[in-house]
Amino acid sequence: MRVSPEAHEHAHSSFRAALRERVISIRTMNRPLRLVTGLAVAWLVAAALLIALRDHGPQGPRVSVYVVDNQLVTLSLPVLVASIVLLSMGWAYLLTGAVHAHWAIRLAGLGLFTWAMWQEGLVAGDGWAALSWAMLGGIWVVAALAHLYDLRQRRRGRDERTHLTRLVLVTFGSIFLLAGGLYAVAWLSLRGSAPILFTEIFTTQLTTVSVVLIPLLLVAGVDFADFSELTSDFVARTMARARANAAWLLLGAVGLGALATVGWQVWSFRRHLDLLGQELATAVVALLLVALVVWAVRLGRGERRFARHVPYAAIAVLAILSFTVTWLYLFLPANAAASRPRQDLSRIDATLTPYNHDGRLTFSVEHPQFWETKVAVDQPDGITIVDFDGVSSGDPAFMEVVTGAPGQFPTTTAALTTLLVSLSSPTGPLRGQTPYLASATQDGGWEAFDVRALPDAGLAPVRGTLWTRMDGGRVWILFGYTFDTDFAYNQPGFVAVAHSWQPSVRTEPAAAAASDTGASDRALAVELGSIAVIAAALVLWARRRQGPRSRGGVATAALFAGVVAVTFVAAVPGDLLRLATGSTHGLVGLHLEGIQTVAGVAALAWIGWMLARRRAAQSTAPLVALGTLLLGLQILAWIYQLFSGAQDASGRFSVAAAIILVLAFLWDIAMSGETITNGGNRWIPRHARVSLYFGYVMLVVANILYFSSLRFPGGTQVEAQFESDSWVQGGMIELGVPLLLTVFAVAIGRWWHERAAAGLPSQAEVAA
Amino acid sequence: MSAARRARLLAAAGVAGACVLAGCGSSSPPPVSTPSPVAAPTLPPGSDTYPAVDTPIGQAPAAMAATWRQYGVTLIPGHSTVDPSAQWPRTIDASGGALTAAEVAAAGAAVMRTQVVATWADENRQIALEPHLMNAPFLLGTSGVALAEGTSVHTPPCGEYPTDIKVHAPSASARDALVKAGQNIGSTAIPVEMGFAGPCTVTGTTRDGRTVTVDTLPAGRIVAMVELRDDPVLGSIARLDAATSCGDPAVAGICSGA
Repeated sequence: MRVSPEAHEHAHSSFRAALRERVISIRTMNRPLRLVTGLAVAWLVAAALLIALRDHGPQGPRVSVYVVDNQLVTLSLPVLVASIVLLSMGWAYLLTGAVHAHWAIRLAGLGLFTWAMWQEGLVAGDGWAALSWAMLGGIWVVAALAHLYDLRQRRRGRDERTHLTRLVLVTFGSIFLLAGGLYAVAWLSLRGSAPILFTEIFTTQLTTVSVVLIPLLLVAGVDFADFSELTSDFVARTMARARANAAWLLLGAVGLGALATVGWQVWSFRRHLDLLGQELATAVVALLLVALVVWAVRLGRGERRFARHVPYAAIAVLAILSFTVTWLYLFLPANAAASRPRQDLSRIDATLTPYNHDGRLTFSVEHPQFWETKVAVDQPDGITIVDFDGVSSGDPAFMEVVTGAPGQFPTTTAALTTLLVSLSSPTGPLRGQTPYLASATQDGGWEAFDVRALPDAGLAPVRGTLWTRMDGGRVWILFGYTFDTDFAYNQPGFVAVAHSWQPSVRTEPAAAAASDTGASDRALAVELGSIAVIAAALVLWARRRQGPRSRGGVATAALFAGVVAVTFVAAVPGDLLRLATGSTHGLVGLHLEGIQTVAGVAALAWIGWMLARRRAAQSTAPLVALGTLLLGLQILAWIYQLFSGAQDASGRFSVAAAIILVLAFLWDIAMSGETITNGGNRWIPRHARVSLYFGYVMLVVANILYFSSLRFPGGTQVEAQFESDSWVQGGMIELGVPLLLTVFAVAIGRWWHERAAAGLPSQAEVAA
Repeated sequence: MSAARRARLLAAAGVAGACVLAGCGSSSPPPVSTPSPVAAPTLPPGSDTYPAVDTPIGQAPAAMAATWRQYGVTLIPGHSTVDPSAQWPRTIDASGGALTAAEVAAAGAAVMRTQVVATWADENRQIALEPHLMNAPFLLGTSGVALAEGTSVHTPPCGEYPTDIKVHAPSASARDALVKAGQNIGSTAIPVEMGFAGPCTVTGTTRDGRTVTVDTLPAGRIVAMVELRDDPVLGSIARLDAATSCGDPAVAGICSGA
């Protein structure tokens, strides 16, 4: 069989056109804009080098950053300086973009920046305040001058705004110096009295910035899916271009790929084939739901053409809106609660889950489920210690359940003295603290002590509650502690553990679990709800009569949002069942592996069907789509695993992960043309877009560099507070996989429509 | 040091060793902190921070009250409590020339000031003051629990005032041995040998007015590892890092005068 030369050429030029659309166009930039772009790329590469070389070669002097776990966290001075420069550049890019955009964006940008600097304490106090405010005022003056220049030029009839591009460098340079000056003034004002306060404030600001960056990182994850789709599409089309035996070659390649995919998944699940079966069962339900979405957006009808690519705006809206809604719903009330007076503080907002210690020694407690459980010591004839650790989840709380064998401790006093002395010993977690018993009360069968501590200089005071009792000849001690500043928040968690203690294992579900869905459950429900609402709104919009140009984009966006919602639902059926019915019977969700298996089985079934009907020649277009999907999913899975593999055993941010992410941003920059950097409009002209975009890139890189370089004494890496890799992985799965599925669905829909229109299968399928 | 603290120390030292072997004191830590410096309008540096007699903080001059409020007290000890008295024992120079006579005298006075302030704090339930004077093992035990329960702990003179004080030269070997046993001892600590008469009964008055026995202490000699400090509020004190009986091999060389 043969494929026409026209089809070959179409396929090839289609790929080239797609690439040309997406790649950032340096050629069409003027000189200042090229310089701005080059500067950003240069700093990106410099940051990658700093990350790669930070643990090698001569080490620069280290700077104290903050204290955690009674240990001083430090950072290399060159990295701190580079981080400040990157952050200042990030602000300069963002503000330059805002200053050169619509006046509303200009005002919003400047207002937000001013507020952020003041709120985070970077506007110095005392004698330095005037200088700080002068710097901030200077930024406003630069913005005002740029605006006046713009007005003047327009009055002279220069409405095309190209004159502003000349101002880009001037504004950027001025704002960079002023923003950097703000950090310099803050440092100088604190250098004498509390230098560590500067690094703490800087850390807090970067942390706040990182929260805002999360949706953008999700979108960066989608870029990998975009890369996968583009690459696999190119490969599939290249095979289809072969003049001789093209269809057979394609059929064989896709068949082998599908067979390998299915075979690999079966091999991976060989000891848990039931789980794979459940994934496939969930996939069937998901396919039905996708079919519903396809029907709703009228994919199979000929009245509407779908855009070949998912509009970038749809991806951004889904990432930003769903995250923002979730974040506002989840974190703002928690922040408000934390800032209320102590007597008004709400209880720790968490689902309680039981811990059963079952063996020769039995007992049970309920604890906040996000506190990790660890049996530190288990000696039924000696001491048993079980730890409940909120630290790894970001909650500064730690609780220990300690018991000694009957007779080991004659009194509760001896036991609590032993414990507290040991904890505050030079090797204990409370080293540097002098704990004492501030007061005691009776709490049911327990005697509860308020434990305070006097810290050594430079350490934050710790506070806790310690419960003691004798039961069956055994001393029992439950000790929950945290930093004094976090005590009010965590104390209800400690109390919940103590009050739930019983000397036997419990069989009933956690009392609170049934009634309290918990923060994570609510976040799940809110995120899913917001995605479903966005999808429904887009579907309704797509079904309305619209212009042919916008209609395709909206319809594809609606299909994409629908697929995102369906894959989200399919991933968490167990949680949804629990939310709906309270049942804790776990259901296996649909994961990337399940989707790959389904795609592989579908490809094999299609090939089998075509072979049975001896019509392999007519299967080219669906085969290209299936091959693209299979290869795209596999590339995405590899990149996902690359990220996971690049983390070290403790899940911390490794050098490799940092480099991969920086490379990802280089790819992101290269492919930003169609969506951001090649276009422009009245609200945000091209030079403003480019500045805003590089501002985002610089802020992310500053965060990566800074948080991945923090060290404990001895060189141990501090657990990453900015898990940029996790969010990118989340973007790959939550948005990237649906993107591949959407592109596949659009390709199949187009083939179906063209096939119906032609009346017969034809070689035009290749162009699908 | 008070006799009650001697007993607490010995008990704590024993169980601390056991606990280290059993793995008490998980290495898992509490996490991120944001320490913030605290500043308050207080007496100028170098001022006399003590009133003439014990004074409730609400009745003290504003700057003095602010100074002591940082230490969490409700009652301020007066000169009548902390100043040297006839009961203070003589200090003997056992440093072998490592310390000057003035240093030895200052160390003895600091030890006794710490001793009387700590005993006064026990008596008046000023628990928050005590961590400034000594390490955790001395703050816990039966006296620590009694104080937390609101009991006023009375240490009789046999427990408060040693019969003699000998100031020794710093001993790295003794310090190392005690640190290995899990004690927190500063690098500048010096050993101070003290003798106590006994047996000595430490009693308490509970919140409901009952008199209880808190502890009974035998007579004996101990070595305390103290750090001399010029505390901005308490003045010259000897912060008590650790102590052990003269029978402890770690300090046997010191007690024997070797």
